[in-house]
Amino acid sequence: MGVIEIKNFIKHFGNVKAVDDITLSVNEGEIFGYLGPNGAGKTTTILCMMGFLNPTAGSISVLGKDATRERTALKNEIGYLSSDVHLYNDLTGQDHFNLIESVRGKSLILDQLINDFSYDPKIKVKNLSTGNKQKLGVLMCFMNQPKILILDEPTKGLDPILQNKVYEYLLNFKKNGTTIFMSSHNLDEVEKLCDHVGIIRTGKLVAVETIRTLKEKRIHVVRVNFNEHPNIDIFKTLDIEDLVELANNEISFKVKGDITPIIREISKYGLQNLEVTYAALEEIFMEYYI
Amino acid sequence: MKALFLKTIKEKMWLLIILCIVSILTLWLYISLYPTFSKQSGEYEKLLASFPKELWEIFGLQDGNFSMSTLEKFISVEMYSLLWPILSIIFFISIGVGLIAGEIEKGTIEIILSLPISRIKAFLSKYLAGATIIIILSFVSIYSVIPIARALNIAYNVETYHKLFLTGTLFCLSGFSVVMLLSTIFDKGKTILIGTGIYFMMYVITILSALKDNLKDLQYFSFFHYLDASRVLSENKLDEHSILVFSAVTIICTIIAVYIFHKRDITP
Repeated sequence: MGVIEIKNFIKHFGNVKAVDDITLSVNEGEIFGYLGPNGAGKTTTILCMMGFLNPTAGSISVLGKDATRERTALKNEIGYLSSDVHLYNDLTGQDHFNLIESVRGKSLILDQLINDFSYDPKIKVKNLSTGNKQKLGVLMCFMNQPKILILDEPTKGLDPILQNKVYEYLLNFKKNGTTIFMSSHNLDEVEKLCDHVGIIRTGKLVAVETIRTLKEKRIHVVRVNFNEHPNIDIFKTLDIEDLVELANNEISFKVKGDITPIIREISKYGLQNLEVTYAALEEIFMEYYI
Repeated sequence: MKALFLKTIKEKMWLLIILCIVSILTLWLYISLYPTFSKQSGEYEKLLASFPKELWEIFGLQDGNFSMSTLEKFISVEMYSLLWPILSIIFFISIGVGLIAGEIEKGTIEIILSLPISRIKAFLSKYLAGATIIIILSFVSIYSVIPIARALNIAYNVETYHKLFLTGTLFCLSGFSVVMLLSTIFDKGKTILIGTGIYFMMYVITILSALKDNLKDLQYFSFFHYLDASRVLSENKLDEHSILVFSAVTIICTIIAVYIFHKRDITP
């Protein structure tokens, strides 16, 4: 039995079916990525896991406790980060930490977190930048080393250095047995961190995959600049899609899954520049939707 | 629970301090004017008595209560029959709206809901903090009369202020409970609109019931009828019905608000 068990979970808002019959399980000590386009039902699922919303039908249990009926007791074990961090504008970061410590008890890692994230807790929230507000939200979520972390887009608004710091902490939490359920729009992040991913679309869970399977479906967008005008016919024989010949000896194409054989092949030709980016997450979702 | 209570008090501290100072200054102004009015009270009474009886009833003043022969009678006309209730209503609506609907709208309710505190405790912490602030303001805005009167060497009757404090505080707490109930159901805008609307309607009812004999019984649907500060101050009488009505409204509205807050979906 998983640490998080969602069974036939349905949430309707009036006539709108926000989540429609989802069943999934998250094992202890794993990082589970919850992916889907905007409005798919990710946040609704998370809000029900937190007991903010009541399911219309079905059940959600965390650590064997019902997420609605036993929500108060469960909060002792859960660290939660909202997709849009909401804070008290007239309070400082330290005031927020004090409020949490007065309920959850003294944090053993707060000083370390403040140091690692270079955060100044004396500044009032109203004077913080969006990134620093997100940083404060992350610290408030991590500070009591919970058994479960429920994160709704945890790195939204953070710069790449801080994103990596968050990843470092998450992997460390995982190593210590924390189970993490996170929604994300960032495929890189999901690939770096997650063991399994659930993909949701218009309220329905369309797939639960290992990260390896997801990587196989990953789409790379490649732009290559050759020294000389390339013979496009050669590339047509490769396992690529959407090949387009551009100006200035440049071509672009898409590669699904492992890109290594293709890179090996094109490196035989004189390259001036090579750019590999990832297709938007939405394009990967399309793989599951069709 | 204590932390949440103290945080709420801290948030409203400046508003409370400012309003306490404003109350004291207003009372000082009125009470310092009293000796002048008192010397000419006979003429004022004659003048005021010439106005229609219904006009006085609109302001919550009964026959003879508009006399300014004592400080209590004077101050009931100048302060506690109209100005004080209006300012109190504005105050408890602004406090009550922010505590639940305001937190939900700003999204900060998520911080509280993600802590291991039951929703009932969270609500009651906020309710008690709001009620404490209201009681403090009510205390300052009523009992300040005593030191000011003493400082200005004006005679006063302590007992009437005990009674006014009890009735006035219960009036505010019942209103605060109504607003807290609205705040758990509606968003901030609707809570203000409905809360203000309820008190406006009650005031209209008070006026109508004073003007038309056949609508007299409508007065029982208005909290202003039960507040009746002029009766408390002028006649030193405490109406048990007022205590009963305000207490019942406070308890019933709070219980319903707790139940709704416990059960409802909360999304910022």
